[in-house]
Amino acid sequence: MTTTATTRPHAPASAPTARGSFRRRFGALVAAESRILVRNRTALFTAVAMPPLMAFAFSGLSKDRAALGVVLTMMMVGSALMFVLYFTMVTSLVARREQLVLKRLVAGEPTPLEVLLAPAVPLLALFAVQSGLAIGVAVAFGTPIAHPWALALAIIGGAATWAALAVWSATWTRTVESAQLTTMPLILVAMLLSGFSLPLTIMPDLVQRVAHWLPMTPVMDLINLAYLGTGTDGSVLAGRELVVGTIDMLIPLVLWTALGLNLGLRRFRWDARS
Amino acid sequence: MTQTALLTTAPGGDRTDEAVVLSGVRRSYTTASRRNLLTGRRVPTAEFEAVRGVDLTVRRGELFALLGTNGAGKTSTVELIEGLASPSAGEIRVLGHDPVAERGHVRFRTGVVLQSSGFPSALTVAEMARLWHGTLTRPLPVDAMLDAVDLAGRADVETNKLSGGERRRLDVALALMADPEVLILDEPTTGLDPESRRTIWGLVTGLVERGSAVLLTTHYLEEAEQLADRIAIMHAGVIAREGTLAEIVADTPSRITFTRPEHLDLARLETPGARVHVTDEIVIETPTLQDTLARVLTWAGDELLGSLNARAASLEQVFLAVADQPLTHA
Repeated sequence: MTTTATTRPHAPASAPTARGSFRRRFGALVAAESRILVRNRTALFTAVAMPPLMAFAFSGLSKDRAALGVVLTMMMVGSALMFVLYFTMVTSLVARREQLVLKRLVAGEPTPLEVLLAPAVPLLALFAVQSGLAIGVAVAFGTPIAHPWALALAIIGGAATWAALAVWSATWTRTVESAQLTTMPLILVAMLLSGFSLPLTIMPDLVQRVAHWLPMTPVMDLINLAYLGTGTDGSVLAGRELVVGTIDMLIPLVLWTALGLNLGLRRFRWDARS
Repeated sequence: MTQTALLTTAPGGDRTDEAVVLSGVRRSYTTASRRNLLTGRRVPTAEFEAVRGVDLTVRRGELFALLGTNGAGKTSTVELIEGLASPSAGEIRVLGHDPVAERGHVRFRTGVVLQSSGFPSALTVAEMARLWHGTLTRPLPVDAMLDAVDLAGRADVETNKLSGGERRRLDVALALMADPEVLILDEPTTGLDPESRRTIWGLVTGLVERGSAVLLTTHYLEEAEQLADRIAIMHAGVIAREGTLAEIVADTPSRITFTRPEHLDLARLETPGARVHVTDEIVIETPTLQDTLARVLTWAGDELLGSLNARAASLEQVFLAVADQPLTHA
């Protein structure tokens, strides 16, 4: 019965003084999360099919194929951030907390941050693939790309922001079922005030200015900048204006990421809440 | 590095001997709160103190059992040692380190069996074990651990299809997989079949024999009696009794009982130091069981004493006496 367990005596001197590597530990968490995601048909379908469906549904609006590429990228990146990364990550965290998996993990060697971010990794991979797909289609449509690096910023900045927001949202979401409600405010605001479904320019000036501080609008602004080279006011940016304009788009994303992670980590409760 | 930490944090004690040290530990829960409208933060308006100043030491090579009724504060205390929460007052040292602030120095040397298993339902036994294996610094092999708890044949079964005993055995296997210097088990055998319980007992005592410190909470007094080197009985957030089994029962008198004999004169029974209660049944409480029993038998002579029973003090007696004490919230 006690085979190998009895073979290693504990001399205090032989005890290791350093713990194992982050890569191995985090890798094990990510592998398990990926496996659980693949086995959850509902979550997997939402994550894989939702963004292309949204992009397909909205992209019929534009006849111009070059402009279509821009819309398609916005639809795909935006809906993937909201439904693949944000919504699925909130439900994953809440489901794991309900089953007391998170409590078991933080009682072990993984740190709270590792435990909370592991569910994001398979979703980030899916998000990257979907974003790449949309950009590929846009290129195939002949959409010119003024600043390719702005696309990278949009994808990385958006991913960091919405993963952090997912951790924060999970702190006030009690059950998997209630995640549909608790994620609604951010998703609705993002859809209405980011130029995602309605052009921002039809909004009053004050609303427009506030909108650029929200977590989704800067992602759309960066995609716009990448393809068209235009800033938030619609003028083409160059030189110093380009640098300042880009930094202005990044600041809200950095702030939302810091806020989401900070509050999420501090307020997270590992025990089941229902 | 660890050497100095141990030196500074375990004054007076053998610095390598004390694996877990709690001094003056308290833990409060917020039971009601209101929201501050200006800051949006919740401000506690009522608190419940579940742990009210606990001092406790678990040494290497020792199995320490923490007993108590439901709500005594066992799990609240144990969660602090596991580093799942910080105490509201007092100090905790696990292997010389603060289990929350210095978790990186502690976690890879400890193993924990929580009251709840916390297995993701989509994973099989082997997948759960491999996940856990991947998170550990110096893991023992997965197959050997599953074998040790007789789960090798259940490796491909989803964890949510396991029986209660199987889940608990998997729990213990995962905790032991870390080859821990300190093992904490929170009610590991509650509701288990005798077979599973014996398996777990065997593994845990094996670990103690190899020099690890084990802290165990349990409802089962016989479990503590059989396994524990030292025992503490917790009641209403404090430790009411602590010591070896012999020490704990030492202050509690042994009992001799028999039905009141018709033909004997009770006035002629001399039992110095003992208390005699007379009803239809005679109950004698004595600190010196053998001496008093000899006197009783001499006194009875050839007369047959009905339902004669002589019993040394038991842990159960002490436990019930502690549990019956009123909750004094100082």
